[in-house]
Amino acid sequence: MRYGFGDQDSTGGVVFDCLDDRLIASAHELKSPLSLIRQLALSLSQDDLDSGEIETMRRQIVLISERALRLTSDLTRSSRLDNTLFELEPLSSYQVCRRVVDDLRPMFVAQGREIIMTSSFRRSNLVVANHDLLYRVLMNFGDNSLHYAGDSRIKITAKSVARGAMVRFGVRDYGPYIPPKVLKTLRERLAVAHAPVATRPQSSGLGLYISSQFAEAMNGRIGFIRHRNGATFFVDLPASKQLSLL
Amino acid sequence: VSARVLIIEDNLWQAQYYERILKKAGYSTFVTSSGSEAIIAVDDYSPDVIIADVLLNCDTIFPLLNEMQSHAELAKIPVVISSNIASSLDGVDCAAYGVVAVIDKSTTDSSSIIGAVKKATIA
Repeated sequence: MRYGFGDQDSTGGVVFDCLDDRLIASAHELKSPLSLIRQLALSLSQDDLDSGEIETMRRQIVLISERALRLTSDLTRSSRLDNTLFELEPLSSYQVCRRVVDDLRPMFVAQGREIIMTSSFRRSNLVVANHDLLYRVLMNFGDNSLHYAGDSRIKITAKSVARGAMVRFGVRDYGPYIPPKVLKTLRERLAVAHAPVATRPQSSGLGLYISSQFAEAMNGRIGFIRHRNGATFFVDLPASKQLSLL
Repeated sequence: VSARVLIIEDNLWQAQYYERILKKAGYSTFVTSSGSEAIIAVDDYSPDVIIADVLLNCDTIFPLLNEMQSHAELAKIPVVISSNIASSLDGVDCAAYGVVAVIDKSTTDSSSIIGAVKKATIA
């Protein structure tokens, strides 16, 4: 089934057939932030603004630019996956997630949102991964959750799955809660099906595609769970046996 | 009484941008980020004009516009589309959905947006 810029595989992931598809998707993903940066820059030079508005807009331009640059950096990294040896090493799940939360917080604060690590987070969880790739996957999930979340907080979790063989990193976003009856009525009125998360129209799926490539390079996989009031994007990676050998 | 503009835009900062320039131009505004929220806002807020993006979080704007066309009163509300895929709408009969103007986000500025909204309210 063709949807947007990418094909979907059986798990709902998006597959880009060729370089042209990726180029088109990249252009699509970058056009939105560039357009907004341009509008804000024009507004700074043309419109009558107070000092608070000027500072807010300057901050927004910086954060939008940084987010767009992350995508370009991820694209470059993904295009070199085949030619690069990645060091896989035991990593502290807590430390990686801590860095992601710290780096995403400015963007979340600027949008009046909150990003946290769950209280049940186990500091002892070790995962076999490449720090840079895992960081990029979680940053991508975080960016994604910011766009789709309502006013609530975003939670980052890490827990053991598959009887301790894997560690699942999850990024949970919370959309507006809609009671089932209201949701059913709205869907009927709007005549829209319950679309898979990967086919959210605003997204070309490029970020998820890159994340899935990064996960595969670390012998893992990505996936998502749709909730009635949001979604959890996750990446499963092999757990380190280092502690069990001690 | 100032004209009421319903903003349907899922990018928070883009929505804030519209809000700021429209309020300074004397309009009253209300923001929603999805078609589901917008269909409620159309009933509750009774906008004089709608400015909307095409690609939203969980749907596009067209199911909402299609729904509005099936109600005599709602069909009269003029819609201004502001989108990054404006050029892709060339083959779409937007007027059939109540769309009176299509703005390309990548080439527009505040005066063009205000101009389009003003023209829509007068029409």
